[in-house]
Amino acid sequence: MRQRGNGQIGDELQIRFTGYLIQAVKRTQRDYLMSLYKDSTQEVLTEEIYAIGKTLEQEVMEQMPFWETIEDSALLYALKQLDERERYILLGRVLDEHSFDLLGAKQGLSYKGAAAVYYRAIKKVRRIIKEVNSRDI
Amino acid sequence: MTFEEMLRRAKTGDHEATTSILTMYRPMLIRYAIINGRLDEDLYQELCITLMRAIKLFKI
Repeated sequence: MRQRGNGQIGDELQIRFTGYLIQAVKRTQRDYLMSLYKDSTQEVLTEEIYAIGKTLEQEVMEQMPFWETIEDSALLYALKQLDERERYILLGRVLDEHSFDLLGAKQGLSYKGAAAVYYRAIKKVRRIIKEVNSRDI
Repeated sequence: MTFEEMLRRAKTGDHEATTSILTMYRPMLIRYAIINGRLDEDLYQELCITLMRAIKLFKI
């Protein structure tokens, strides 16, 4: 790269120019990589949105805690009245469609025990919802 | 032709002098245009433009 035999003044000038150029080249490279990175992250986001095809509302709902997604206030109130074990088995059965065997094993109960807790919880929820709705009217 | 002469001529828009400087610095530009082991041609073009701008802006 360096041109030889130009004398000391020429050498110094070339060294200065090379240093100046290296700075400019590094700046251009950094700016280019930054713009490339920005483009790639924007492309991924757009692709993800279109690939999944979700609306903004669906995405927001998925990010929210479970309690916040329940719109029926009576149901929410009823679920909050259940104890931890009843709620775990009810939601595990209804939402995740787990078997009573699995739910029972996780809670230290037999199949029959888990089923009994589930049906008791369902009854309790129905009763509470009925009470809440009758009070509202 | 000394580097100083070459640079002065390139600054006035001399095509031959500009090409000589570009040829001289091409290996360096290529080295900076390699991203993940591959030559990024767009970046190389940008760096060539940067060299042209540097020729114009550099104060002798």
